[in-house]
Amino acid sequence: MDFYIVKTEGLKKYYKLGNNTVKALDGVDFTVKEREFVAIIGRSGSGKSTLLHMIGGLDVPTAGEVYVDGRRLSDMNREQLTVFRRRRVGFVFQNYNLVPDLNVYENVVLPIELDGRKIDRDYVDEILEFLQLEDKREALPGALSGGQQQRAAIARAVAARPAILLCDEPTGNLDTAASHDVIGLLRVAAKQFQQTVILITHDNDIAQMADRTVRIEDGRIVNHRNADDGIMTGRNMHGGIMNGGSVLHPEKAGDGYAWE
Amino acid sequence: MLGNNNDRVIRRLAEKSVRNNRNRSLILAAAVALASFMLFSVFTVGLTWLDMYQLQNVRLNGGEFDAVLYGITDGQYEKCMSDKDVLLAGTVGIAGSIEKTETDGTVGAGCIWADPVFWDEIMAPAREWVRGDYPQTEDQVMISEKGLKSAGLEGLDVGDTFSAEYRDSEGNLSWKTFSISGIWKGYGDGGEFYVSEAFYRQSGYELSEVASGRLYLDLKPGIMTSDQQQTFTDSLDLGKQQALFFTGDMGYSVPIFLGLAGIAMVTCLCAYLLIYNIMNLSVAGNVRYYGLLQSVGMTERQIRSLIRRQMCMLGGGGLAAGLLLGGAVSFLLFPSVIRSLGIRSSEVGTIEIVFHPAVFILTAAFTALTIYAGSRKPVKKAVSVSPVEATGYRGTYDRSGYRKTRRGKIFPRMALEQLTRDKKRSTVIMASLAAGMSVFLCLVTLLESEGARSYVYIYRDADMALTNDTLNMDEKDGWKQLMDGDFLEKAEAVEGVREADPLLCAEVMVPWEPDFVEKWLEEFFAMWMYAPYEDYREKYQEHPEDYSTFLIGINESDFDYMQENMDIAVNKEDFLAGKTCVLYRNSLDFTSEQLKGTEVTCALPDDPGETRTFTIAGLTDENYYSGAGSIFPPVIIVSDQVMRDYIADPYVAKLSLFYDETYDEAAEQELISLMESSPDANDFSCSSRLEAKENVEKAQGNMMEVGIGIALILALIGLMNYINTVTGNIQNRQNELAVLESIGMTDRQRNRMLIMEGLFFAIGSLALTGTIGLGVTYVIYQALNYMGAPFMVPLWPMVGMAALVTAVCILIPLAAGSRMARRGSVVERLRESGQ
Repeated sequence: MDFYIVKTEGLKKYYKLGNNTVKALDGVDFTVKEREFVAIIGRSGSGKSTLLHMIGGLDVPTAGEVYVDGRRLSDMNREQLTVFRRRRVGFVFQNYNLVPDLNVYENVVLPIELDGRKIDRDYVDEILEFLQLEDKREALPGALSGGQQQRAAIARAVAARPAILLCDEPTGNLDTAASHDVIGLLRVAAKQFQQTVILITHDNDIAQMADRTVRIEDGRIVNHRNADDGIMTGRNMHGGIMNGGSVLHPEKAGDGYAWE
Repeated sequence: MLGNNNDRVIRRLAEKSVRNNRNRSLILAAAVALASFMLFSVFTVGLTWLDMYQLQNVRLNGGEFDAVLYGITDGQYEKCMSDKDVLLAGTVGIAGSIEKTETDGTVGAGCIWADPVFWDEIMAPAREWVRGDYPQTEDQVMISEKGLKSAGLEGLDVGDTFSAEYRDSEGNLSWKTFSISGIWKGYGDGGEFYVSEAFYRQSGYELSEVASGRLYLDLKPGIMTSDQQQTFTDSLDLGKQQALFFTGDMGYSVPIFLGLAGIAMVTCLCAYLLIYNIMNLSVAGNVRYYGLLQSVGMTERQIRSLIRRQMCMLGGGGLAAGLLLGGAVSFLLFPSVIRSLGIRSSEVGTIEIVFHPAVFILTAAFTALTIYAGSRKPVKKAVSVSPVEATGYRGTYDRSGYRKTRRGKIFPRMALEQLTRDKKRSTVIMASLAAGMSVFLCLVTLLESEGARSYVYIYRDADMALTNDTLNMDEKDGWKQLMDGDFLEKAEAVEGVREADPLLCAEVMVPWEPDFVEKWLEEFFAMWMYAPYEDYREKYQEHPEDYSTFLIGINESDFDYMQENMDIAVNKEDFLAGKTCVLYRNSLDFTSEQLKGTEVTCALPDDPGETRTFTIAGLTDENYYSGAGSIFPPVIIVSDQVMRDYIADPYVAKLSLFYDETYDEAAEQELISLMESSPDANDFSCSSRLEAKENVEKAQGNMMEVGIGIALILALIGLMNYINTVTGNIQNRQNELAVLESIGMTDRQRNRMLIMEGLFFAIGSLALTGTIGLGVTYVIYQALNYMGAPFMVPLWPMVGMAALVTAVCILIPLAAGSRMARRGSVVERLRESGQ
């Protein structure tokens, strides 16, 4: 039997807007397997971000249940939810949401420090090196390009070793080349650090890099497509992805990418 | 190019912006309201305080005057009468003294003639009531209730007569019958007998004599620099013996003015910081909005106009609310609180708040100016950002560059980060809090110094001092040992009395010799006597026993106190061993250095061969050691042990009593009973700190309460400023806090971080208050401290204020953070803040 790291049952989120009720999510049943890389696509206002927020415990559903890593989120109070998020979920936002006063290193280790855990410096160094941020350790977010900031945000999400990475339009503010770089890195990083990724995008090209895509429209899931259905994924992609002069070669990392 | 008439659209936008950003608008209007409230109420109540302060001085001085001239020549009188800077010149003449009545052998009260200007105008504000009329005939006297009591004439009324022994200008004593023409009660009365002009004319005194004539001057300028005072003094062309004394508040009018101006400026600074902080936060938080307006075609000028309109609306509303609130607090709440507390209302009357239209106008003008000045920089910031930049603008949050990774615990580090993120803003927040606290510190310190304690001078800060008045009598036969060993034992045994230090005294003579004594007498005559020294030299040489003086014996504690106030160091061992002595200077033009090392010999009048010679170690101005009357030779101060070795049974001239607890009413009452149980109770005189305190408090009226009210308003405003600014600041950090929560910061962790931030603000502002604030307070205090009261920060009010500030600094960010967290889910807050 498959273990679903994320599972939603009849998930609904309704908003009152004047006399109207907006159904952001209208009965979503959705599952994600461990270490799966899933892209949720949909038009603006389709409910994809709302779904991601519900999974991450950032918002409360009107009805239905969310199970993450075997735990029902509705059983947790606010504090437990925050701690759960800190330990089990990593967020990557479209606007990076780095803390502006902290340098890259401090931003990356912030969730670990908040958790009161000892910082594994070797592990953080490995992540920074992996994401090509080793020479930006002491840079403040304001000194970084959009791509670099997003890589720093990914590093922060990965550093606390969460089970799941939730990425809300992580390439929304980036150009095409940087977008591909970031998604490539995200995919490889997830593989390297054994994490499940749920990614939101409205860009089909980006979505095609996932193991599975889920399309959402008007608050309902309308389509699931696996990479095996013929859509190109990182596993069967030819060649490498240019990333700041480095080349990612699929063959070096088994079923993923590896830096050269 | 013709300008577009876009007034309507800008007005609409401004109105909508104010309405839609309700929280921000409310905070801004509240800041303006608080600032104008502070200015209005502090200045209104401050003026009331100043009024009371002046009244207090009038009461304590015993009249409304600025300077007193000792000895009046005709020329000086004419000069004063024609000087346009002299409003009133009242003449007073000392016409001898009443030495005894039939019921009191040691009255020793002056007879004073006051002209109508002094009695009816200068002295009137210090009187509570008068029955009868001012004396017109030679046998009439006007006396205060207190004077009647101290002369043993209690119970007599207007029209009654009494007999008293009178001493005239020649020192002759004669019994006279007086009729009481009037009785009065008021402040500053010392039990004098006011007599008629006719009485004065026959007394043999002249107004030109320093010992008799006084001209009390009420001057037109409220403030006079020392140079102006000197010029005025010089214009009177004073003789050697003459002196012109300015009252404390006139003498120090410039420092007092500067001190008060300093307080007013800090108050204005508080108001400015209050408005500026919020303006800055408000406009900076709205830059994106202005960028958006630019992107749809609004020009810089239009944005300026829009912001100005918003400021006008919020500022106008805030100003009106502030003035109304200030008026309500100053004129209704403040007096009613004082009334409801029942603070001495029966003694000092009801409180009347002074309204001055200038305060109203100045408050409005200053607030408007501050709004304008406070909005200039933020407006510049708003229009200088390009539309594209504006959409991503995050104010000081967009920091670039590199920064070393900091070590240490996460929450103090993040809190410190918050403080250093915008150093200017943090400094302004701390400075405004510190300004409020500093004004509080300054005012409570000043109020403490204005307290009765500082106005009362008793030797060695004793709680009570008893004096043996019989030693003032000319006839030595009348001298009595009022405070014998038994009395001293009983006084010391009174519960609550810690220490009772007697001042020993004995009559000695100082035989003439050509060096020191000759020099001393020459200077004494030049300074104090009208007759030339030559007339007395021979008499003195032959009969020094006719010109006796006092040998004073002091203990070690007295010595230490005396030494502290001398201009020269005196070797204690030599003094206690009887090798050296100290002389009472008696205002003569000698310095300690001049006389140091000179020998002085004294002898007993009854046994001239029994002499003692001491080396003079220095001079003291402490008049506690001075003897009564015109003593030609110096008063010699030696150690009490040396005195007892020399004279078997010296008199106890004075007794200083120290209580365990200052103002111990029970101890005081027991001592008074002890004194009154003496068969010679009338021959004691007594000065008491408790009694003086009650008198000063009565003279002050509600001054202290009003002052405390001002201090509290200012401290409150400082706190409100902090509350307002920090609330605004946290509102602007909504996004950051939501981000932190999204990556796992729990409420408890956020609270810890905010507590740390608050603590840093508290520590910073307390440090500023403790350094700069204390320094400024010291300077202002010294400027206002013409009473020479020691600088002492009132401990408990400051501890209370520090605790309150720390609590507010911690609780406000905590409350603001929690309120924000309750506003919706993390996502909603992230969305709301534009992420």
